[in-house]
Amino acid sequence: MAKRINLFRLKPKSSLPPLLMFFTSKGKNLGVVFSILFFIGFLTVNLLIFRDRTKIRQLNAQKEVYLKYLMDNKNTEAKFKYFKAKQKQLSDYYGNDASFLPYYQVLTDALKPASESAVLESVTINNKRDSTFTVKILNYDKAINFLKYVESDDFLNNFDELVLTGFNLFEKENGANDSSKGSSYQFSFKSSFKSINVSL
Amino acid sequence: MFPYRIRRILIIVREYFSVVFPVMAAIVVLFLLIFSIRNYQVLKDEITSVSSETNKLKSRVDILKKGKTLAENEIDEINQLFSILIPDTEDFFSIIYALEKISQESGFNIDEYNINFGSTAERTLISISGTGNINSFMNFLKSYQFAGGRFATSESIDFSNSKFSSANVNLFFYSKKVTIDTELKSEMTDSDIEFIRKIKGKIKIQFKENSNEASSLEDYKIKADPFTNQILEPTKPTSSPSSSLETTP
Repeated sequence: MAKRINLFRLKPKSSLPPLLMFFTSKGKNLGVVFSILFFIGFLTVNLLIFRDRTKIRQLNAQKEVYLKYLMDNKNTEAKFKYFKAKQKQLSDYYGNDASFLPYYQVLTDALKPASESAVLESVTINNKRDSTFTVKILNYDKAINFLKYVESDDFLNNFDELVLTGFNLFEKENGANDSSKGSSYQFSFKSSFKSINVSL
Repeated sequence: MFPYRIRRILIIVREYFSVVFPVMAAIVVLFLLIFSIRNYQVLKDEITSVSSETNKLKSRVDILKKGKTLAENEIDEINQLFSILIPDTEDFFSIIYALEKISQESGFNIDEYNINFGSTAERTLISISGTGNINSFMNFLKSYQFAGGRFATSESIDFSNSKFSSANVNLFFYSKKVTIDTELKSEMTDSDIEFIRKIKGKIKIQFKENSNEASSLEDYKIKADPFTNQILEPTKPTSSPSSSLETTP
C-alpha cells in the first residue's frame, strides 16, 4: 500500500510526549490554583509566625520582670531556702527521738481502767515505738481481772504487738502493813505501740 | 548560538509560557511555604521552652511573694534560732550550757555527763546522769528537745516509777552545715508558719541588737602604741551589725 501525506491536517503534531501533553493542557489552571492555595498557606503560616514572635517577645519581657524581682529578692529567697533546709534537718532528726512522753501517756491512759489495781512500775520506749513495761498488781482477783482487761480490744487497740514476756509472784512480806498483805503479781510486757501523730 | 537541545527547550518554554509560569510560581510558593512551616515549628519549640522557663520563674516569684507576705518579719529570727539549735559546726560549750539550762528549767539535776563513743561528725552523744523526783524527770522529758537552746533527741528512755530518784539518759546533739540546693523550693505554707510559731514557743531566746557594745567601742579610744598617747581613728565596721543572744531563764 502506498504511503500518503495528509496535507489537510488542522493541528500540527506536538513535539511533546503524551504524558507531558496532558499536564500542559491542564497545567495552566493547576498551576494557578496551586499557586493561590500555597500562597494562602504561606500567608497563614507567616501570620502564625508573627503571632508567635509577638508571644515570645511578651514572654521574654515577663521573664525579665521575674528575673529582676528574683535578683532584687535573692537574699530573701536564700533565707526561705535556708529555712526549708533547716526545717528538713530538724524533722529528720526528730524522727530519731523516742517521743517518750506521748507514748507514755498512751500507756497510762490505756491502763487507767485498771489503775486501781495496776501500778505501772517501769517503762522503756525507743524510737522504733518498741517498748517494754512492767505492771504490778496487789492481789489475785485483781490480777485475773487485769489479765482479762489486757486481752480486751480497749487495751489492745493501742498496740501493733503485745506479748506477755514474764510473770512474777511476790509472796507476803513478814511484818508488812495490812494494806500490803497478800501476794503481789508482776507482769512484764513487750510491745510495739501503734503510731500516733507526734509532731514538733 | 545555543546548542540545538537548549534552543528546543527555549522554544518549548516560549511556546508554553502561560503554563510554565503558573507551575513555576506554584513550586516557588510551595518552597516558601515549606520554609515557613519549618520556621513555625522552630518557633513553636522556642515558645514551649520560653514558656516553661517563664512559668518556673513565675512560680518562684509567686512562692517568694507569698513567703514574704507570710513570714518576712519572722524568717531572720527563726533562721537564727535554727542555726543555734543545729549549728553548722559542733560547739561543746553550747551543749554544756544547754544541759545546764534544761536542768534549771526542769528541776531535774544533771549531776554528770560524758561524751560518748556513739558520736559522729553530725551528732554528739552525751550520756547524762541526774537526780530528782518523778515530776522533775517528767519536766525534763518535756523540755530536753528544745529548752536548752540546742536541739536534742533521745533514742530510748527508761523510766522506773517505783522509788524514782535518779535516771540515766543518752542525748544526741546535732550539728550540720546546710547545703542550699538550687532545686530546693522556698515555698512557705501556713503549716510552716505554725511550725515557726511552735519552735519559737518552745525556746525562750531573745535577740537583741549589739547597740551598747557598739557605743562602748566608739567611746573607747584606740591607741597605735599602748605606751604613747597617739590615738587612732576608729573604723566603722563594714558588715551588718551582729546580734547577740540572750537566753531568758
